[in-house]
Amino acid sequence: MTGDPSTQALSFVRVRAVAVVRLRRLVRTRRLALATLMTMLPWLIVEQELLVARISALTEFTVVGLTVLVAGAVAEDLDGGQYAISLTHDCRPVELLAGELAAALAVAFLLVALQLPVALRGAVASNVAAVMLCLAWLAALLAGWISLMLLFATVIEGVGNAVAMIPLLILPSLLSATTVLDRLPSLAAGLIRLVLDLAPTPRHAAALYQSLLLGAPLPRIAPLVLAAAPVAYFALAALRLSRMQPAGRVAA
Amino acid sequence: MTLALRARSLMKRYRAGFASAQSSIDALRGLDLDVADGELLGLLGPNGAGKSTFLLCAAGLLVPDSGTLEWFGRPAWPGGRPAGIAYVPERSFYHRFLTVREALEFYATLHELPGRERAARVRAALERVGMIEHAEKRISQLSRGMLQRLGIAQAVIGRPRIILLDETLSGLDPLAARDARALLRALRDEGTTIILSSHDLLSLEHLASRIVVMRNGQAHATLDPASFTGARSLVLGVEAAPLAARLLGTRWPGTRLDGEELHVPLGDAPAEHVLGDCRDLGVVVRASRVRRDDLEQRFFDLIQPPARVAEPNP
Repeated sequence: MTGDPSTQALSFVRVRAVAVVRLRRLVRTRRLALATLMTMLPWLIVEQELLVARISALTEFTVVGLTVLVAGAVAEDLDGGQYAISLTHDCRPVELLAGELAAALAVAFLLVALQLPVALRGAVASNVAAVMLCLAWLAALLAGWISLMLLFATVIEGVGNAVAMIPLLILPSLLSATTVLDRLPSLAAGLIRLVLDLAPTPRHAAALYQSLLLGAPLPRIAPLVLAAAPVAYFALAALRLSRMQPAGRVAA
Repeated sequence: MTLALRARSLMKRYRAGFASAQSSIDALRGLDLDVADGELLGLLGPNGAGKSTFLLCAAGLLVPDSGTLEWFGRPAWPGGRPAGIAYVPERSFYHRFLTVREALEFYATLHELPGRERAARVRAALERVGMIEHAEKRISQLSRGMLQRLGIAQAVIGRPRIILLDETLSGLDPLAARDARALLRALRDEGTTIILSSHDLLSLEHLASRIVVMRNGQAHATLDPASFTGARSLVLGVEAAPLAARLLGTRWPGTRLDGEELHVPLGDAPAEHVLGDCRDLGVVVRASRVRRDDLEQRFFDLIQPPARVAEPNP
């Protein structure tokens, strides 16, 4: 035996190899083109004057586009058997996960970069620092959202994980606009609010944009969630994946 | 004898999910199996016998519920899978959007091979499986035979000590099957331990030094292909079998009685000659069938013992 993969250090060579393969898939299966189109299309019809509204819209479109693009692909990678074969070539689960994250982040930044000229149209020099901070929070949100998708993929089989991400996007706005939670017992309502608050969603980023660009009070939870989510959810996903049987879903 | 793999009392149950329509399945039920270093072991058994599950456990991709598994004397759990164990799945678990060369380069990169060695290994693997001219084809364009060759290529790229093949030879055309057999023979001759699960009896008979017949998640029997004589005999269901055996034995030496059946060695003679002699000697034949001592027959004998009232006359 030449070495024990379980005791090897994290290999960036392998992480990069996994990321390159994932990017090739997105390009060659035309999913990237589709997601780009989906993300750009709303800008042709949305006319928002406020910079904060445009950046919030950019955030929403990017998160939705990314969910469509990445969640199903991650499911294919974990359920399709390619994952198991990669492990027989000494790759570790955390390296595969890191490769997925790197590829998804690269795609996310591409989607943002394509939209940025439209989103920042009319931004003035005095806003530049605040806009840069907004973009930093956007980056944190995207990394956190992708990490959450990876965690979902280790729990829910198939494209179900992509479907499961959609309520996370919709529920916070839906629940805040209705009195559903008020009618629940306070403990249950509090738990639901906590779970929704702990998910890195565009709502958190929008609150921070308003604080940075309009001088609204700084939200208490949003910065903590957006800063911690990429690391916390990725760590949970890696832990979960390392405990999963690589061929469990394939063989069953 | 050094053991490449040693399994004891392996148990594996696939539990039905909460919303699953399927019930739980006991895939392995106390499997004991030894594989010698450098051996080419065949696995044979009906569908659902537990062959694929065992291979996944042996590849370190599936953890049995109980029992022990050792690779070269090292316990598999805890500690996870060691390097040097390759697995060729039955289904094509490869990135369909990559070319053959890109896929092999990907797997070679996972082994952290330096650029020059990586290219050399990819080329060697392509040559080994005869796919140099198909290297730039997308995997989605490959035939089943080509996919199986790619499976072997990805398996050998890390120069493993053990290769586990799950139905790799099934569904290949005769030429492709012959090439695959030659490839496996060459790997075996180089000292690689190979476990081959297959329904391709010809390949198992020609390649394996031992064939383990699996049934209901256990090693049901072990067959030695060298012991298969290929000899033909006629099995007869007759009336008054002991008397019939004595009568036929005068004309067909080696005739023996097995329960209610007579086994008459045929050599190269047609079965009709024996049946003609039965008529001459007044032996009443109820049924008859020709039996050849080969893997297929031994397998059927083990899995489905022949019915006492056999098929109509040949």
